[in-house]
Amino acid sequence: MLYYVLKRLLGAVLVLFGVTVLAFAMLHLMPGDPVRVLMSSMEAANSQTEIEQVRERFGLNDPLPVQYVNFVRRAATGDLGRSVLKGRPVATMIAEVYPYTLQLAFAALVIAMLAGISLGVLAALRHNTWADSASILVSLFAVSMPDFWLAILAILVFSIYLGWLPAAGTQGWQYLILPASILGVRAAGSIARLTRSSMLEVLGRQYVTTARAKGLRERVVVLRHALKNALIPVVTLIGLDLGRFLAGSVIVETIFARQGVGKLLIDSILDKDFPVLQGTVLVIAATYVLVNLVVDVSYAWLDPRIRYA
Amino acid sequence: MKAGLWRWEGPAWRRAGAAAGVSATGRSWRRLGPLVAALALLVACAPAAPPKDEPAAGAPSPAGDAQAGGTLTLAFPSPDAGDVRSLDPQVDGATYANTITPALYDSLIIQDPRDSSLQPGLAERWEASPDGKEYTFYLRHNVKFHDGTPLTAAAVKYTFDRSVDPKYRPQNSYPATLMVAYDHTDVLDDYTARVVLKEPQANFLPSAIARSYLGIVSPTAAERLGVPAFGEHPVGSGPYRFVEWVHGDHITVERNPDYAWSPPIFDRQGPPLVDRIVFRFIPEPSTRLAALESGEVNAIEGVPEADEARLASDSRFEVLKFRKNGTTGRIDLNNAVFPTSERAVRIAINQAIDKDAVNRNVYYGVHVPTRSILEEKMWAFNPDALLPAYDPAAAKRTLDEAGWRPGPDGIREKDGQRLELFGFAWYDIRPAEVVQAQLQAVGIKLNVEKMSRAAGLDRVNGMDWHLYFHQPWGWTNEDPHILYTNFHSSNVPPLADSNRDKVNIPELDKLLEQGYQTLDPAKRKDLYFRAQEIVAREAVAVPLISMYRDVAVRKGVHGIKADIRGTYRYLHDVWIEPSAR
Repeated sequence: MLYYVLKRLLGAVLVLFGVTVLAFAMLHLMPGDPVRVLMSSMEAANSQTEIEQVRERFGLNDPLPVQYVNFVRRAATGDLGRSVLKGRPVATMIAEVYPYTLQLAFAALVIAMLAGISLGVLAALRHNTWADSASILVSLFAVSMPDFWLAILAILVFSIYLGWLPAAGTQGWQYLILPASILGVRAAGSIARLTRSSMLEVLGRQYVTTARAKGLRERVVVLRHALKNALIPVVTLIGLDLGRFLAGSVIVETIFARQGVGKLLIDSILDKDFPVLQGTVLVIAATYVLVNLVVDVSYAWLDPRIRYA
Repeated sequence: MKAGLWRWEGPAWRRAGAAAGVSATGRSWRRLGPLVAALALLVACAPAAPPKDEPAAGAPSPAGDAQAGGTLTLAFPSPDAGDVRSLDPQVDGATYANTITPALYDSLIIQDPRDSSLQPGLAERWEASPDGKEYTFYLRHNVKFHDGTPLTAAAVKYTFDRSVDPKYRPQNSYPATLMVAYDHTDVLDDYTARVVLKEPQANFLPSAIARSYLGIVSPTAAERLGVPAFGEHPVGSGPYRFVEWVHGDHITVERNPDYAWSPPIFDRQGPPLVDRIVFRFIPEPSTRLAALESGEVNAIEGVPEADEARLASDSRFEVLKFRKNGTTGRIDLNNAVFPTSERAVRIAINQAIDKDAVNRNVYYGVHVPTRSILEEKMWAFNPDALLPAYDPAAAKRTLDEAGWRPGPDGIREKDGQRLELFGFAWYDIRPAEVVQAQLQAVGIKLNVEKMSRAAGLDRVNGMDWHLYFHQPWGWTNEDPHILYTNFHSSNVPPLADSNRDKVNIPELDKLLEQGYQTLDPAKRKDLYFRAQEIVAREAVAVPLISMYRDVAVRKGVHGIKADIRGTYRYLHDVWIEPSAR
């Protein structure tokens, strides 16, 4: 087990370095010049000397490898530079919005898990009945509908017509319900489908028949014996979904006017705010790598067969 | 099998056997299951009847009955940078910062939006020297900053010095540009400050001193916090005090009970009536609208054109229409590259474009189509300096006379060159699409491309384009000196970036330079009138739309006023009826 974990850890670190190199190279290949963007956005005539001053100040005149090494060195100590547009430390900007992303991600995951797993189990137990078909249809709908459409529809119904929930903002748990539901809907759909097929497969196994033959109550058979085993592939899916949520969902964040890592990322791309973009990509990649590491390890813990593969 | 929730019907092979015994009807009912479920979902999706308008809550109070209390919640679209950048006036905040800073800080002078005249602010009166290089301001007594320290001439000197201080670049680039003629300030006594300029600047008072960028800051607080922390914890002398700023979500300010005066252009003399103002950022237009309609906010900026008519006719809301000032929304033409370097081509482009159609199709007829380069609100607006009107037949004649004959595919040609142009937009591609069809009709081929903001701003500085669709509302400004910024040859890239049309007309340059230095308002007006005539005659660009910058409020929210530029708001006079709180 330990050997397995160490192997995974090493892989994670290598991936992380690769990401920083790629993110850095990608930025410099894009069209547009960050200094000119900064000057132009102020709608003022600016002289060439001022532009040069700014370039110097942000180290944009150094050769690329030097810029990269400086970046990695500083990042290791927690200094992700300062935003070109706002002058604020990038690490602070990310730290400010990260809790909101965490909130949204975990809320969405809880909703997705509850809805998805119960729907999947229900469908499996009622295989080939109307309940099964209905739940397949619902999960297909959940996976197919675009989230911006669902979001606007939800706002229309729950904020304007019914007035139950607020449309935008982050200050309070009521503000979390709609965005988390919309974000979780697609994940719920795919979790439901996977749970259903996994359950069906497991329920046909001999050990389930044995459990029944032992006289156990049906509920115990389904939950303790069947479901636990059926959930093994679902754990991987949940892990991937969590990683995706933590990487930030720009659409949900924009529509519901929430701060978050995804919105920070998109804004920095559109404004060519180098330091913010680099810092955010690094944090998102690190999160993803960590989540996948945890998923891999828990997968191995849940299913001993994997450890020795 | 036991019945109940956990019942499981057994593996498929066993159920198939059992099913063999079921009647044909039963089997077909099972197949109908998914179909029924689908139909049920479709029915559920049918839109519910929209909510009826609530009846007006009693008779509205007469406007004179201003009442204290309540909170104004004003939702902004986020500017591109995603948030107000800073609440430090000498640091370049994004657009909406300039609605928030006048609530927190006072300026020495304020410009009356009704007639462009200069009115007392923190300066009760002022004198200009005959050569225009010295301005002496006599300040109000007994004004205190929010931190209790007194506002004296020393604070004025501190504020003006830091606006040009190179140590705060690039954040203070824009205020520094406004103060380009500033040399230094002499503190004559506690309440008298003399500002000395390097050279005379005709629009120094309206375009520098009266701007919110030169709002007076508390030197004690600014020194203690430094840049950029002071921008996060602003301390001014204005009618509202800072409470908190949750980045990307909202900024809260509360009424300043020690505010004992107000510039004379406002009704309210003394502290404001509302208790608090919450500025929220909601980038998505439909969400912003939903927040207004559900009552979460009681005022919004950035009213989507598609919904304006509906909101205006809804008795629960009111749309405040504010016209902006500066230059009109226009299509920039590259005057330095063929074929848009040809005057005939530029005139023909103006004649081919139906501005009214653009207004109707893209903006739901909300704004005003225009043929002028300057907005009508500008005090030096020349109503006779109009660019060519929509007349496709005239456009064809103009091109014919210039030697552009229709080629085999209808696109005009001259000396083997096709009249094929490249246009791009980063903000909104829709006007470009409408214009594309209109130009096609007279034989001009326009290829359009939408690109990101950064790529767009970069492209326009080069030569590789003919038409540029900038932000559709044009430039905002209070003074005709904006013509210099837009059309003087010293501002053509790469020297600077504001003369995107790359206009280079020596006669025009001279007029604009004189306008900058002539102190007599009547003479200035004449100079700018002639400048506008040249711009119109040479058809350097295509004026398109004069935009309203509207605010939609819940009925019962009173007193939101626009500044001289039309885009920022003065909140000194706001009061809210109890029914709208």
